[in-house]
Amino acid sequence: MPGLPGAFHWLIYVALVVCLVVAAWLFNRRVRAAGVSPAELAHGLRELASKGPGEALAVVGAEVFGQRRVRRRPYAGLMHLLIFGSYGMLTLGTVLIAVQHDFTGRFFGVTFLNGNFYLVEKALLDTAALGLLAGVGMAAWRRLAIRPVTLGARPTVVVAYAALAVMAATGLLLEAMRELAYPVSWSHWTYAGHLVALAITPLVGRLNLGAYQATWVVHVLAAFIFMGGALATALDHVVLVPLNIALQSSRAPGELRLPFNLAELLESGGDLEGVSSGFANPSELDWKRRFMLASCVNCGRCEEVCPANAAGRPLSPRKLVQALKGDLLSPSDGAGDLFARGVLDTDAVWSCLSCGACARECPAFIDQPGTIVEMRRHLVEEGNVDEAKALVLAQLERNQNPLGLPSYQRFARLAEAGVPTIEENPGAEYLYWVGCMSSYDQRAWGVASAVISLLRLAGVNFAVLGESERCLGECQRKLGDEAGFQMRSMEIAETLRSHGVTKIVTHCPHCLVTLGRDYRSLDMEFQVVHHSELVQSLLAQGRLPTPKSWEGGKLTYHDPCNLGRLSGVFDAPRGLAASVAGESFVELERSREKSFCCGAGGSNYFYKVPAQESVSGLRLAEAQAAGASTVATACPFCLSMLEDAARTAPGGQGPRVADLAELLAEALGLEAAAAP
Amino acid sequence: MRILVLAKHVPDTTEIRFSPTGELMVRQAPTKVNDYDRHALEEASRLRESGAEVVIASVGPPEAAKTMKEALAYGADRAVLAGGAWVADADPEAMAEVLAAIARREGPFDLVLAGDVSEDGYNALVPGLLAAKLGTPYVRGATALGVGGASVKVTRLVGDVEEEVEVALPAVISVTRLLNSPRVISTMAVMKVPMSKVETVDLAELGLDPAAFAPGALSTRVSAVRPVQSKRGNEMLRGEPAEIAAELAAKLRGMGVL
Amino acid sequence: MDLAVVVSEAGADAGAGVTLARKVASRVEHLVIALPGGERGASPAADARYVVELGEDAAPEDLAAVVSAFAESHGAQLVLLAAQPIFREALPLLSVSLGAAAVTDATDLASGADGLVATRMLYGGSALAEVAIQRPRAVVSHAFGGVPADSTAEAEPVEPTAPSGVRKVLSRRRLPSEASLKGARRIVSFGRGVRSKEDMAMITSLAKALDAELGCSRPIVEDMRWLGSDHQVGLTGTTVAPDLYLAVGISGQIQHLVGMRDSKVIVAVNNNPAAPIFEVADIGVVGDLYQVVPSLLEALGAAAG
Ligand SMILES: Cc1cc2nc3c(=O)[nH]c(=O)nc-3n(C[C@H](O)[C@H](O)[C@H](O)COP(=O)(O)OP(=O)(O)OC[C@H]3O[C@@H](n4cnc5c(N)ncnc54)[C@H](O)[C@@H]3O)c2cc1C
Ligand SMILES: Cc1cc2nc3c(=O)[nH]c(=O)nc-3n(C[C@H](O)[C@H](O)[C@H](O)COP(=O)(O)OP(=O)(O)OC[C@H]3O[C@@H](n4cnc5c(N)ncnc54)[C@H](O)[C@@H]3O)c2cc1C
Ligand code: SF4
Ligand code: SF4
Repeated sequence: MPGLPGAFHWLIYVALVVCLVVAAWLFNRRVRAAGVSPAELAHGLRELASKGPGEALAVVGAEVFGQRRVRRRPYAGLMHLLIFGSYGMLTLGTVLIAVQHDFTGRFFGVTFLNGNFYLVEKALLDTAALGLLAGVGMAAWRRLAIRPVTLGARPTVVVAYAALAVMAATGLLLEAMRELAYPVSWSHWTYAGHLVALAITPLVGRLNLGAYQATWVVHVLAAFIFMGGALATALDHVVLVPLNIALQSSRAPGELRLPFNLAELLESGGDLEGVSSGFANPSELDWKRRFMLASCVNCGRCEEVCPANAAGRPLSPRKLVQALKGDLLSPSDGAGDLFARGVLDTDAVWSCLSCGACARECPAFIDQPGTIVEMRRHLVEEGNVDEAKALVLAQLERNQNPLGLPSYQRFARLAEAGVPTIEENPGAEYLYWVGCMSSYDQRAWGVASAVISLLRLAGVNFAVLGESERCLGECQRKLGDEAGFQMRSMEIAETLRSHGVTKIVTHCPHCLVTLGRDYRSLDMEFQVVHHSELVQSLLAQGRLPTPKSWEGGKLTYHDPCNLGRLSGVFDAPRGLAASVAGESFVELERSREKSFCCGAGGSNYFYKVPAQESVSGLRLAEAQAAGASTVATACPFCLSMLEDAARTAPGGQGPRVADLAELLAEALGLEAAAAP
Repeated sequence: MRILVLAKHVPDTTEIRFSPTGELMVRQAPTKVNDYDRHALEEASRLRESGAEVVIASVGPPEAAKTMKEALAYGADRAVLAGGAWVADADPEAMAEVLAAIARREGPFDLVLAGDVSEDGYNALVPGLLAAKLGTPYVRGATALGVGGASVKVTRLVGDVEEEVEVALPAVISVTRLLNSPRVISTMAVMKVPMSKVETVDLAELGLDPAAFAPGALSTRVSAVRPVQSKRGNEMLRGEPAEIAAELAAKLRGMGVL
Repeated sequence: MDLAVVVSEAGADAGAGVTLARKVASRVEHLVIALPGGERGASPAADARYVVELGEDAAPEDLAAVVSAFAESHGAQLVLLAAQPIFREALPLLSVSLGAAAVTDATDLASGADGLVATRMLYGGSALAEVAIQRPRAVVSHAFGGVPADSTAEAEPVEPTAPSGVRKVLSRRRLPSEASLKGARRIVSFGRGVRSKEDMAMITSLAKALDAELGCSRPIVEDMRWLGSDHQVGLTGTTVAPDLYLAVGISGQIQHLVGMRDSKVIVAVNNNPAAPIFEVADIGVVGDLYQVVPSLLEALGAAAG
């Protein structure tokens, strides 16, 4: 390197080692504060690697290098791209120089930074330096001028960003000084340095070796301060988040942690004394979930999309995760669980709709809804829930449905509609899982009635369980009674198996998720499809006729959380909506993955929490804003919630709300299966 | 302080029905701890937290052992379940007799807590009969309890009058659902109760003469059970408002609900 | 059976008791429990009428002692108690001291081949049981409220026994009748059929005329905010089971129905004949509530006045 004594050169490596040691020490302190030992972390990563790291790597690649979620927000996305991308390029450039200079060149006389490649590299590095400055500028502007509540300008953060800015600026300055000292013909490739050179030419007389060396020292110091300090403190997310993404990558949307497998637990005849399904305090969590909480960057993306928060319920997933993280890092005083100690209010955990909107947005892959359910599990195990929730659980036990209606009435409407039970029709291709809503709620019966008519028209051979169908306990699980849910699941799976059931169709997305994914995680496998998928394929196969033209005005579709975001079924319902309404179909602003909950999820259908507005009202208003005169949905809970909102919509009766199956049956001129 | 709580194993009445041939279908109904007794269990469990010993007493079929585990999950030291073939025909008087024998065998107790009424039989007799047999005071309808020293203060609602009464211990108190909100008992909490906490006894072990519990020897016997026509009248009144209003008023009066 | 004693509080009509006792006993005596110097009330046509004065603080134990002594000395085989709370509390004590069989809430009495048979509800009202009495004596309470009496014959005084002193009454106060839907005997409930807050007055008057509590559907609480949530009946409100549930302008969505379907008598007023509420109603009034309610008020007022 021109103008520097050789000793400087080797000092860098010493400094680098020191810097890495300091960084490692700080990082160690960081994770230990969250109660995670580096050994556990290392073990976890090794385990991940041994199980086949492909998926984790792909997810990390998309999220970290592709910045998939980060990009969703323009300002923060651009800022991250500029800083992360530029810093990455500069680091790479520096490494290449070091490799050539101190390894390949020195020992083998091989150089690769030559010719056009070198020029392009130089130009890219200059761009990166400018990008970094721009990124830091954006960060400074955000923290100082925009000032979102979640972000402050803590001293460590100021130092971190300052180090980055100084590093970029001095880099360009060094380049300019070199250009002035040793002019080259290709200086337009190092265009940024060249511009700086032009700017400092008047000062050229005063430039001497000392100034150059001083600048170089500042440059290197800034780089090491950032690398050694900031990455393990203020900007630790750069390290924590990718690791956490890797650790959490296998979690499916909305999937809840299995605290135990009850079947195995009972079979092993083990002592149940210490067994629990939730957590009373964050300190009890296993290291993976402690690490997860510690990874929250307080960005507020979760809060922005949270329907509970939007409706003015006492829940912000950001604040909730931050409160848990805060308590993990420095536990507050007092005895008892986190509610007794005032870390969180129970209303916060009961406000959650398990809609998964937050988890889908979270750039750190934090499992807010799952964490919330685990706190509910604790409350239920402690018996610390109010009467409304206790009643739901009690009614499930007694009547096998959360509404508390007699179990023997479940089959009444179906029997009247002449639907055969699986005993009567053992050869059925599909078992139709009707669910509690349509079995008991007169309005929701309309959905079942339409599905039955459509299946009959298409000649599908199906049957129902009849009186032995019972609630799958999705609400029970979301309320936190995990053992009860698993017990119920084992019994239901046994019933299904005893009838040789393999294929199931249901019109309830809550049942879909439970019978499908949740049962699979308990090693009970059934093929489950949603009625929208089955009906859409029947239409595609020509087993159902194409409906007549639509005169119902604009039709929109509300994606039920459990069907869309949590099960990935987006296109089949849209296909149905389009075949009913053709060109009159309009999308809602928040659609598909971004859908906004109807307000019933997470068992919220059955109890109240304090709120300023209703979640269903907000969603209905969105449909009204889209000019829809009909809102289609594909979930009996969404139907009930949105229809309720439409009944009480400001300015009189709101749009019509109906299930896709009902609309299709109507468009095909089908009579109700049988009016009970 | 030693507390005896009466907890009855009952079928869920919302699941009881008559078969198309008119037979009462109780067997397949889910069973549980009588709702009122949950409030007594909750109260006892709170007293146990300040040092009381709590024993549960019950008379019921063998399946009631499972229900006892649920009752124990509220927080009690152990349960004594008396059973035998005779239980199927036992009347409130017989139940009280057996419960009194349990109280004597496991006693002495300072306080006996029970529900005001059971959901299936709905006699509201057993606690009072037990008190009379034990020769202790009996107060029913508790909405609040204050146990202290040698007496218990009971707040209760009699019609729209709220009164507070005090009786000496030992005493039998039966409670209403206004007393407290029982905690939720999760499936896991029930599974965690070891079966060894439930002791099963028969009449002989309680020093009772089985002959006295033969159906013919009891004070009452259910000789027939028949369905209540629960179908709603669905009688529709249409026409001139004044006329239907008068008709409605007359009908309501006739039904004795005014 | 030779002698039945019907026991009731003065002021509460004892017609039902005497009528019931007459079905099984050749002689019916009526024992009135009265306050010292208080009114004696009316007696139905009993064969003899007695009165015993007990203070306001009289305990169930004292009542049991008086009635027990009376039944013993008169040699009654049946003691039939009215439905008031104090009798329900005294009944088990009384049955033990008389060595009698005990039956509560009888809806009917009959003389069977082997003696007295009482009918009563079982399983939350879904079944009726016939209970055969297998003792020479029985203490029974009946399930009926006041039934008008038809005679006011003179009553012969009975000496009360000495107070037992088992319980001390520390305080007693009449509660202001706040919205307490749980346990209410009658409820008038309204829904969105009532168009404005001002119109609520009409419903309140109806509730007053019927001596009923005021209930409502959820939109009234959550969307209109006309009433507090303690008035809401249903899935996310209170579950009620009054003797009379009068639903005015309520459609009868399942979430509402699960909260009131156990009511004894359900009456619905709705202008839509297809409203689901009619499916669970004993009596359905198809009409405009703005006409039906005032007329009903009139019909009730006319009867009262
Ligand atoms: C098929 C059938 C047949 C019957 N046959 C007869 C019959 O022949 N004669 C008859 O008189 N009755 C009969 N009964 C009614 C049944 O015997 C009564 O339920 C029982 O005697 C107790 O009365 P109760 O449940 O109404 O208790 P209540 O007096 O209403 O109970 C009040 C409280 O007492 C306590 N308690 C009551 N019973 C028990 C118990 N067993 N264990 C622990 N605590 C208890 C509980 O705390 C309860 O809350 C029959 C019931 C059935 C279902
Ligand atoms: C999760 C959830 C929980 C719920 N919990 C509850 C609950 O606990 N309690 C509850 O009540 N609801 C509850 N609901 C709401 C329920 O679904 C219904 O929306 C609500 O009960 C309807 O109230 P309503 O009958 O007053 O209104 P509407 O359904 O609008 O009915 C008004 C009725 O008035 C009639 N009417 C109109 N004008 C007149 C007139 N002039 N004369 C006579 N009749 C007239 C109409 O024909 C109609 O039947 C819940 C809903 C959901 C989704
Ligand atoms: S939980 Fe995730 S989305 Fe929410 S603030 Fe933390 S990092 Fe951001
Ligand atoms: S799951 Fe939905 S309701 Fe719950 S915190 Fe996340 S966004 Fe909010």
